[in-house]
Amino acid sequence: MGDYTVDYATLMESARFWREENARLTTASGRLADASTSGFGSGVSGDVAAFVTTWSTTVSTTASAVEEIAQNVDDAHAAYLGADFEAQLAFEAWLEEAS
Amino acid sequence: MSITIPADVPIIPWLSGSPEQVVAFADDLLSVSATLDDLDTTADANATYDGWEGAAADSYGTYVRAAAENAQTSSLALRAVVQASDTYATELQRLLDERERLVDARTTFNADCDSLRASVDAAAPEDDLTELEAVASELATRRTTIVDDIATMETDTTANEDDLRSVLTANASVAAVLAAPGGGIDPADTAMGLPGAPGSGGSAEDVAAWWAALTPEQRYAVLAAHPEVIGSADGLPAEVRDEANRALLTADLEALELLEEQGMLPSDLRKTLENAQAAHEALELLEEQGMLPSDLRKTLENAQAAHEALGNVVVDPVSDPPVEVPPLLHLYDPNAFDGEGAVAIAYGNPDTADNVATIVPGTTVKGTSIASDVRNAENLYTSARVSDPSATTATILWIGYDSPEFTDLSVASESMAIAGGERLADYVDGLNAARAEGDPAHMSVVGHSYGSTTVGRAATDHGLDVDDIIAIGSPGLGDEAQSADDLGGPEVWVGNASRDPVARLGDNGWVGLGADGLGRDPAEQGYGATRFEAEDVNRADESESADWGFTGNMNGTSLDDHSRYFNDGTESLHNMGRIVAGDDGDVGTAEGTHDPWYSGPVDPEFDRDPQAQPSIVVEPDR
Repeated sequence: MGDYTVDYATLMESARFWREENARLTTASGRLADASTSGFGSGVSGDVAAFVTTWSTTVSTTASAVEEIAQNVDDAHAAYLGADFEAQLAFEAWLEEAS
Repeated sequence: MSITIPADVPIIPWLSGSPEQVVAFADDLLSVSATLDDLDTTADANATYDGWEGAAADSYGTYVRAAAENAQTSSLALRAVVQASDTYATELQRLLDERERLVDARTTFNADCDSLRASVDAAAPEDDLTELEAVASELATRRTTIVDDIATMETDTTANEDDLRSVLTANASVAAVLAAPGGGIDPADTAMGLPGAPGSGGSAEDVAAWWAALTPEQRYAVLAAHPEVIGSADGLPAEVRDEANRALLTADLEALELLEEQGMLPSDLRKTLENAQAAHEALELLEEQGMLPSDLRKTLENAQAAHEALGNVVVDPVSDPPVEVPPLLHLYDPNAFDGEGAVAIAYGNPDTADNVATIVPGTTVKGTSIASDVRNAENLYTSARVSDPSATTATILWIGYDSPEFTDLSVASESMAIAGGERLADYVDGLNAARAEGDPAHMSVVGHSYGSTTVGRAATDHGLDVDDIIAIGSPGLGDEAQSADDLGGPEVWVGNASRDPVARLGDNGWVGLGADGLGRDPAEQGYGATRFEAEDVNRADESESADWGFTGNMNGTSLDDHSRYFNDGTESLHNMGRIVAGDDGDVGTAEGTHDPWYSGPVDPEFDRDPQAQPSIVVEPDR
């Protein structure tokens, strides 16, 4: 395992960013699914409905992938913090015992 | 002799569909397309961070790029269908119009056949039927034409649907898009690289010329890929800006409201994280370092205010029957000025209206103010239309600069007016550039309070290209405007109400704030402006003793009188409507203030009884 650098604020901002993107994609997917196709003529409205259904699903899948990014970044953030905090507690306990 | 009467034309085939609903569908798709395109760009920018390095960070970067890999392809697919839908809607409208024409033609034809039949039945055997034969012949020709036109309409309907269907098929999936020749190449990239593109440093005229030279496909491409650029690009058509800004607004509103529901706005997130033991100390550190993420709540509030303002129903006061005036979202940047927001809404189309007026508000105005202040644009629109019903009008409420807090006004610096003046001059250049060549508008700007200082700086520093400058409640038009001549040529009008304390802040002779203020009193005799009557029958009582914290004599004033200029029934709204409409001769002028050697400034308007003006604003069911 090589060196690593972690800035907690960067991870926090990253998770926030991906949550916002997830919200944008989730609502975009909903907008597609809800888009009214009744304005199209009867000869083509079925094709349009099928198109929006397909793409709504595609966008929804992308939204889920983005949500996963946010969750994984959050998990990484918590893990880094947890490891740091555990180490801090361990050393503090050791210092207390030693004094 | 027998006469052959043509058969009736059968019922015209029904044509289903609504162009308006198709356009609304296309707008929805455009908004989704913009979201996907945005993901592609921002994912790339967020695949690596300076503050996170190591094996996990590398894996994260690979995952992020993969997740967003097809976003642009998806965006391109939706964009193609947006364009195809709009084309379909235009053709559908033509076909519906054609069907209506054919229905009328059929009705008339069949009635004429009935009439001929009756004439033939009534004819006696010895009558000369030559005339009836000619009518029958003419009817036969008409029938052929109508039947042919019906067949053409049916063929065109099928072709219209086939055209749309082929675009749907070609864009049915990511794989289908990539398989097409040139698939995955974004025409927006080419368009944004052309000379004159917004952001390339060109003038508003350059931007207008750039847009005019784009192909329809490129226009759709830049709308979807760069709505934030198109929506605020000075020089572009107002309806294009409106489409881009509404797409942004829709996406912002829906996404941020979802985040709010989930309790995931940063301010809520902070509370959540504060409860997490492991994060507690880190949060404290981040807070000390000022590194907590910016608050999206401000963005949401700005979006909600713009949405509310767009829902304000304006009824044209002179059209018969009454018609609603649709608003155009001419500027929308909820993150501008550290989240204060920038927004502009127009009533009427500034690209085509005979008279165009831009209102520049003053202190304490921010993006959320649009929800209430948009009524000022409504009232001015109404006043100008009443003044000249034969002329078309557009009025704009422009919140496009960072304005100071009101409490700072008595010692306000001109720095924000200087920066805002440059933005305003660019904005007005954009309004002029978006007009058709040879069709200039009668262009006005109305600066209220500190907004008049901003207007003044736009004129003295950047040659504000308007016909009329209207300053109301003005504490001064800036140090560079020592007289109306310094404003570069527009006709200068001043409506300073005598009971408005802010209007007393301008310098009169040696009296005033001097270097601490915002310039000379433009309502003063000898300044060179035309002062117009701007009093309100509800103004403050002359005996009112007041101390607003401003320097100078403020007795007989009320801050309420600083906010009445656009009120229905006031002299100022009445006169501003006339100025905006170019009816200069009908403006009620007022005597300027003067500064005798034996006392402080004297305002003759203080002792004049104001006149109530007719109420003109049409109140729909709000």
